[in-house]
Order: sequence, then C-alpha cells, then structure tokens
Amino acid sequence: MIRLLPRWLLAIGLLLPFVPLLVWAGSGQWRYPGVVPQRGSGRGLRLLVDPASDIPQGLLTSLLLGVTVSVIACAVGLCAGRALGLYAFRGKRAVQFLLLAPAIVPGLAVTLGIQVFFLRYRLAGTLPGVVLVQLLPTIPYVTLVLGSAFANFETGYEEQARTLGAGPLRTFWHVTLPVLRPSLIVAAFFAFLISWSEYILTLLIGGGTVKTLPLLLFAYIGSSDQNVAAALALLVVLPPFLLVLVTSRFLTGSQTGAVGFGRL
Amino acid sequence: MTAPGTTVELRGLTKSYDGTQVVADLNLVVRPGSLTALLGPSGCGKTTTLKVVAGLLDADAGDVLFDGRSVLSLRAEQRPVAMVFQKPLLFPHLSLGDNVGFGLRMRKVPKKERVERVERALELVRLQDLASRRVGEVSGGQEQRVALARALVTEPSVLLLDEPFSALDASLRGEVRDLVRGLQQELGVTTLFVTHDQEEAVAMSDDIALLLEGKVEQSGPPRDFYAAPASMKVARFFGGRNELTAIVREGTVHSALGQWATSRPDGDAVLTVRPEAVVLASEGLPATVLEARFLGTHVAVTVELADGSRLQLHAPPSVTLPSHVHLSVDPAATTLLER
Repeated sequence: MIRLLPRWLLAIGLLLPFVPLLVWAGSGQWRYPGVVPQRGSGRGLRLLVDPASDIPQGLLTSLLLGVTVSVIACAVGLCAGRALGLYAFRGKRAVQFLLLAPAIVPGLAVTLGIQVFFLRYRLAGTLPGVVLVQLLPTIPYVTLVLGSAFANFETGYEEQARTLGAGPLRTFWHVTLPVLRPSLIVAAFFAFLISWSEYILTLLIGGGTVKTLPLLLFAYIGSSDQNVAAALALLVVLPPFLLVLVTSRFLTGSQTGAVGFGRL
Repeated sequence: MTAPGTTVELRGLTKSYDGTQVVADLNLVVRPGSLTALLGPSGCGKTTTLKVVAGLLDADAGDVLFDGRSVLSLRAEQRPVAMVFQKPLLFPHLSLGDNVGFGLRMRKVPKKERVERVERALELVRLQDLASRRVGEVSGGQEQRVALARALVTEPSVLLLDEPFSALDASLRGEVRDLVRGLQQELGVTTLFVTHDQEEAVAMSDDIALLLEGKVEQSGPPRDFYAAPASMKVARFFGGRNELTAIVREGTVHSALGQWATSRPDGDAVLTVRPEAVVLASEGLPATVLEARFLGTHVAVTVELADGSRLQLHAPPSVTLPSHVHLSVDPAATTLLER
C-alpha cells in the first residue's frame, strides 16, 4: 500500500504536523485572524539553550536516562533473549506471556503500587529510581526483539569461534555481538525511545525531582507559553528523528533478515 | 605449515543425551598424519564424537589423548585442533581475509605475520584474490574453501571435518574433496573426518572407523571392509554382498557353494561373497539364470543355485548368457560371518 504513494506525498504527510510547531516556535505574537504571526521572536528557541532555564538540564537528564536504560535493558535482554530464543526450559510459555504483560496492563495501574515500594526503599525521587521504573516497560520490548534474533541465530558460529581459539567471552564479543548487531541496534533504539517519551512513570517515581523533557513539555503546555512549548516539542522530536535516520537501514531489515519480531 | 603428525586416541568414550546413549564405550586410535573417516549412518554418534575431540562437548566417561596425553582438561579454545563444519559458518561481519585470520587474531599473532599467513592459506585453497571480498559475495564451494583455509591457517595438530562436503553440489563436492585430500597429505595433519557416505570414506581416507550404535564396529584400511568385513552389520552397511546360509561342522564349512576347511567354530553361519568374486566358468557349480541387467561396465546377473538360493554376480558386458551356466567361486574371496 505504502509503495503506491509517491515518496514526496509521504514526506509531506509526515512533516506537515511539524509546520505549526516551527511557526509557533519562531513567533512573538500570533493572534486571530492572522494567517502568519504578526511578530517573529527567537525567545522560544533561545530558552532551549539558556542555562537559566531548566531545559538544558532536562535535555541532559533525558539523554542520560535514555542511554542508561537502553544499555541496562539490552544487557538484560541479551541474557533473557538467549534463554527464550535458544533453550527449552520449564515455564517458557509463561515467561513469554508475562513479557507481554507490561504492554497489556496500563502502566498507571501498577505504578501506584510500585510507588509505595519505591518510597519504602528510598528510590522515589532519585535518578536510579527512575532508571529502574523505566526498565519496566523497556525490558520486555528489548527481550522480544533479541529473543527472536537469537531464535534465528546460528549457534554454529560460536562453536566455530571456540575451535579457532576464542574463549567464551571473546566469542561473545567478537562473534555473537557482531552477528546480532542489527537486532541489538533496533532493540537499543526501542529502549531509548520508550525512555525518552516516558511521562507517567517518570512523574510518579521521579516526584518532580527528576525533570525530563516530556515533564517540562507538559509543564510549558500547561502554562500556555506556546513559543517555548513549540520550541521544546521540536527539541523532543529531534533525537528520535536523528536516530531513525541513522538506524533506518536496520529497521527496514534490508541489511539482514534476522531483525524484528519475525519469530519467537 | 607442516604439522608433526599427532596420534589421536579415544578410550572408552561414552556420551548420553537425555538418557539415550549416543556414544557407547568407543575406542579408536588414529594414526599420525592419516586421514581417518568416522563413517556411519545418521544418529550413530559420529558428530558427537568429533565434538568431544574438539572440546565442544564433554564426554560422560572415557578419555581423549593426543600423542598419549589427555586433552580433557583443555577447553575447546586451548586444544590444538581446528574444525570445519557442514556449513562454512563464515562470520558475516568479517571479510573473507579477516575470517581466515580470525584464529590467528584470537591467538594474538602479530598483525604483520597474520597478513602473510592469511595470504598463504588462501593460496593453499586457491582463493588468493578474494581476501577483501565479503561473505555472501562468493559461491558455496568457495565459502567452504575459505572455511578450510581458516582452519588450516592456525596450523592445528588435528583437523576435524564434520561432513564438510554434504552441503555442496555434486559437481563441486569432488573438487573440494580432492583439494582437502591433497592438502591433508601435503601438510601431514592428522585428520578425523565424519561422513555418512561410504563411497566418500573409501575414496578419501587412509583408514575407516565404521560407527554403528555408538561403537566402532570395525576399523582399518578401506579395502578391509570389502575383503574382510568383521560382522554381518559391517557387511550389510557396505552392502552388495551375497548372503548364503552355511553350517560349520568339524572344521569344514558346508554351503550351496561347496565345502572347504575353515577355522571357525561349529554352528550356523552366513557365507558372504561379493558379486565380483563369482565367476562364470565352463564347469563347476550349475545354476539357472533368472535375470540379467546390462549396467554399462558389467552385466548384473541373478542366478538360482541347485538348492534354490539366489546369488548375484557380475559378468563381462560382452557375454551372451545361456539359461544354464556354471559358476566358480574362490573360497578365499568369501567371508564366513556369524549370523
């Protein structure tokens, strides 16, 4: 279906929603019935890099969170994915079902329960606490992607590497990881995106102390400061957009057939 | 790249999976510098045996010795072996040259030496110009040759081949087979070669170890398997032999082919004889021709003997067969086996 549409039409459809954002972000005054803003202003965009605003700090927090969550989720996902993809064990079906639970159960419902737990262990309102709670929705996705990657993985590569003088660790580093690289990039990308756009979990567990970009964005939208909100929205969209550009060849699977949710 | 010939010895090797014994008290000595085929039907434990020698699997019992020293305490990466699998298993993220150099890199060989040795190894398999190519850009036969170069470049004491030709087209198979045999003899590396193809085993190896149900049923030079099968199982695996009922009484064997002296103990036995050893003669054993099929190099003839037992024989292609013939069989060409 998508093939039938001309590319330029697709591009316009995708980019159109960003036009008002761009206009808002650069406008000073825009009142009815003006089709374009009456006055331009760089205030919204300036605030993004103004150290006095909380936005640069928020950007840093979001990036740090995203990368940390992504790395930890991938580490866990590699182990769990291997077990699910390659080995038969008792209760495998149950584990596979439970992995989908976070996608089925609304996050808000469980977060209230989790919050009590996090408060007791003094994790609420801390960065580690937010990392932990964000792992909740990310690990299942990463495990699913890597599980299907391992299901298609040729373990003969590892045996071959062993007989060529590579120990288990070096086999993992020099053979398993590179062979799985396309899937790993997709998994890391998913994890980063989930963390990057997470709102409710961060708000409840971070308790307003850990301010990520989505939190700031909601605050600015609420304060009806449209210029800053629009500028901030653009900033929130930018990293995922760049990531998609970089990883698109892995996402489309043209590089390798062993990517995605093919088989588990 | 000449490896000093290493003797490989397997002693009482035993391995079970989920309660099923795959390898059962297997004993075998592989002569230094020889190419020995582990021949057997699928599921007879030959790949398992090879993986135990490589260190990829632990045996439940028994020992693996290289030149008299046990290698069981060495992990796979520490053993002086190299293995070529059924599939080429070239690492997809590396160029062909880097694939060949992988073992050297893992063994921390300096880069300069590595490049030279990779080049030489690729020359051995006649692929010197393909070092910079990527996996998937060359044919299946070429990939398997790269896999062979990757194994040989580390100068292993023992080379393990796990059905390395079975995934290749028939036309390529012969070519790669000749290359392997040539290199193996040139380098003098002790080689254990797993195959289920008896023709391949006979054509390629110095010795054959026939594995049936996890045990070595017979081992020795290929011609022994034809001239003197050790048991009915061996005779049946190699196939093509005539089987006649026989009785041994007081040092004499009695069968439809006649009677002669034997050293076997008294009792029922099976007399087996290859079709080539049965010759048409002007006088001798009378027989009736039942069927004659022209097969190019010979005529496969089925005859019935006086007592009703049937026999296959190979007649020259030019022969004209009367309906009644006479046969002559050299007792030395027959093998008396336990039923």
